[in-house]
Amino acid sequence: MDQTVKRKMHRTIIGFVPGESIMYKLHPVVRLSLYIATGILPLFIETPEISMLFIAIILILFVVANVNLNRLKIFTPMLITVGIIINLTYIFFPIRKEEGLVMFSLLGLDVNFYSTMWAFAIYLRIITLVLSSVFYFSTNRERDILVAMRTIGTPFVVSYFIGLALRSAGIFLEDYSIIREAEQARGLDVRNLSFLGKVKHFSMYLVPLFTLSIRKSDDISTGLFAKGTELTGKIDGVKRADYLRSKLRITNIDKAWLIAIILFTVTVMVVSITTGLLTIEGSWIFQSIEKYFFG
Amino acid sequence: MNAIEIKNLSWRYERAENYAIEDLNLIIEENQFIGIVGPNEAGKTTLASAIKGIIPSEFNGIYKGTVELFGKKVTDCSTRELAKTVGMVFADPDSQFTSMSVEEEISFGLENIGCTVEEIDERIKWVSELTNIEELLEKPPYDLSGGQKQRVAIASIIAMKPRIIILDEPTSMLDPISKDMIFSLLQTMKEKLKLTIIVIEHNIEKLVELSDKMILVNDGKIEKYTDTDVFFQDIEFLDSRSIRIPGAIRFMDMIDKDKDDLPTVHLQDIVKTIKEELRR
Repeated sequence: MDQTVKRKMHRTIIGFVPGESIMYKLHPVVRLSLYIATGILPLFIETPEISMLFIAIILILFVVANVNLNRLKIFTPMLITVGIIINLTYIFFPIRKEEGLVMFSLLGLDVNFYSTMWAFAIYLRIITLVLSSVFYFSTNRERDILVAMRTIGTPFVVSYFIGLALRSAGIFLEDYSIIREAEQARGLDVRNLSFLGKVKHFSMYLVPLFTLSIRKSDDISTGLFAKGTELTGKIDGVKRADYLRSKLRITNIDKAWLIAIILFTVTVMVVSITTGLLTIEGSWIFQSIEKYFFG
Repeated sequence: MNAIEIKNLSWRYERAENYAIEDLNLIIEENQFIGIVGPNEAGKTTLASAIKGIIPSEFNGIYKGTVELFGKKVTDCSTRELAKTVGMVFADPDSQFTSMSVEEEISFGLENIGCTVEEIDERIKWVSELTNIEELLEKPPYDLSGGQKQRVAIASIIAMKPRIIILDEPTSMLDPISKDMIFSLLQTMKEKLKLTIIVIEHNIEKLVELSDKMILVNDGKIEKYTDTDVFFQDIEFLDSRSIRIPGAIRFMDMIDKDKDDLPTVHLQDIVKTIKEELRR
């Protein structure tokens, strides 16, 4: 196949999804369950090396799913900031358990062993959550999210409101970009403004943006009336047709994946709760560092 | 059969001083293409909204008189009944795009009126071919140009197979090429679909080519409602109402001023007449 076709990306509200991806072979509900699993599992894993393994698996998924890893660059400042905040928090507010186990002092502050390890474990959990979210939104378009929600039994009204909210977010962003382009056309370069100036300037956008949003929500409401919209899941007492769901049917392979994901998630949860295998104390990294500092 | 029958209709928006339309009477027969023109704030959109039932359903105000669609009052129709009978396309393509993909946008209206999945599938194929949007079905709204969005909006209304379609300034927010595409789509609709089509437009040059009859709305009243060629018999009157007369029609009016015949308004007829005159 032509390379240009292979690389083709589709726009979504928050970015792009690949034109082709192995993930598209899975029903949206399987993709959603994978997201939920990768979102829940880190909460049951304290061991840093297992968290790191989890992160590696998600990164492999990025490659397998044809998602451009360069996208992750934009999250780097956020991840660094979060890392600094978490570490500082645990330095200033150490957890009671490890009192006495001071690794070293920094500018007069004691850096405690147990707090540092906890900060590291939590940081890894956050990275996992961020990566799994980025992965989900990089392999699912808005319609996939809605189909997945309807498949798991979300009422029509709820899924429809979420759809409208996503649509409104799209309109909001389009309006924002129009206002910015109009300002640039009149010679305003935001890059030359100081940070405070940028913040002030952004707040100036909000007034026209919200005015536009209110006006458009009125128009959309009229548009919905024109299309005969009645917010009910039933038409003349019969369940309304769901065209999108009918196009994306769950196959036996999807079912097998669903079972596997659920079983794996439950197993990890049970192991975490009933055994000490996934605790921070059971970590090889934890034990090695403890041995190095405290013998 | 009369598709639309309006009797003594008056409407005043809440907090407005004057009536937007006042004591208006109108009969539109089935399967006709009607062009509505008039200056801004004349009451064109209010008239269209009253036919669609948006007025009085979606707005507060004083409503007098009746609007009947195929013999049934709009005020007695449910939202779904109205959607099945009248479709409306608005000027701003964004305001009518409520879904996250073109396919979903078309299917949404069909789900609303109670179509089955099989029917929806069939109608999507039919309408996307008719309106030439097959390539766009998977796309989200923010990936479409204004013209494409408007074509999708029209397609989503046609798919519902209403008996009347109203288009309220469908090209006002579009570039010239997109405008031409919309008018060519209107031409296709006129030729292939058995529908009553009402178009509110400022682009009279294009509208004349399609309209069986034209309506001039001014100051909340219908000042003229005739066949398209008769409509342009009194150009001075139209000028006084700020109607932009197409250059070709004005030219024909100037050279045929002494004749008693109806004016030639369609471009092909004008070209034919001029060629004949030149041969003489």
